[in-house]
Amino acid sequence: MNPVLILGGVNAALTLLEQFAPALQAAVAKGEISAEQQTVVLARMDLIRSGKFFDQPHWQVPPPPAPPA
Amino acid sequence: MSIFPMKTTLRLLALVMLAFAAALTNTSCQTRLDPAGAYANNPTLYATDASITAAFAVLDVFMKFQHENRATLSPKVNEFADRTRRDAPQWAKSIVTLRDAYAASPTNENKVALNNVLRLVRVAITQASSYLVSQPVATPPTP
Repeated sequence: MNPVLILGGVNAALTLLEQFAPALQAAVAKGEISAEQQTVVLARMDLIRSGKFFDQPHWQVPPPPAPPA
Repeated sequence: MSIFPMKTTLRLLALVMLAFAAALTNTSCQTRLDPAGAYANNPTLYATDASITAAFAVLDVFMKFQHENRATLSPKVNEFADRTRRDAPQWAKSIVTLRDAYAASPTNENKVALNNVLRLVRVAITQASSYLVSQPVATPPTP
């Protein structure tokens, strides 16, 4: 077992829950999507549209491994 | 030491990813919107954008997780992630173009085209989740 990997998985799951809790709650309860939540969605769309979404380090394609000497 | 075995953790992450992809990519067009918001007059467009952003958020969480744990994940998971890194920006461009076409002219034809490209992203999420569940985890390199 690798505790770092385990914590990474749990953290990733919690990140999703944290990011989308309001929208999910509204969708499940068929409640109202607030103006703030609409702004969040619009801002995320802008990030995707501009390509800045993929500028984060974890979206960079790693260089190919160096050939063996 | 965590209370969860590693395999259980990966399954948990995969299940959460799938649940979010399913729940948020099916946001109902009938959801009420605060009229003061940016989408006040267009619940369909809100549902479309919520689906797109949710799908990329799920992929983003997977990519971050894979990036931080590359050394301990199986080669198939890493290959899939790198392929997705290369392809995702093009998917995004196509999705935004089709989304804008649908926003400007909400015909059934434009809706079908948008849904077709969104399906690609859903397939990627499903694939990412299945890799996390089914692939053995490589032994970490010794320091």
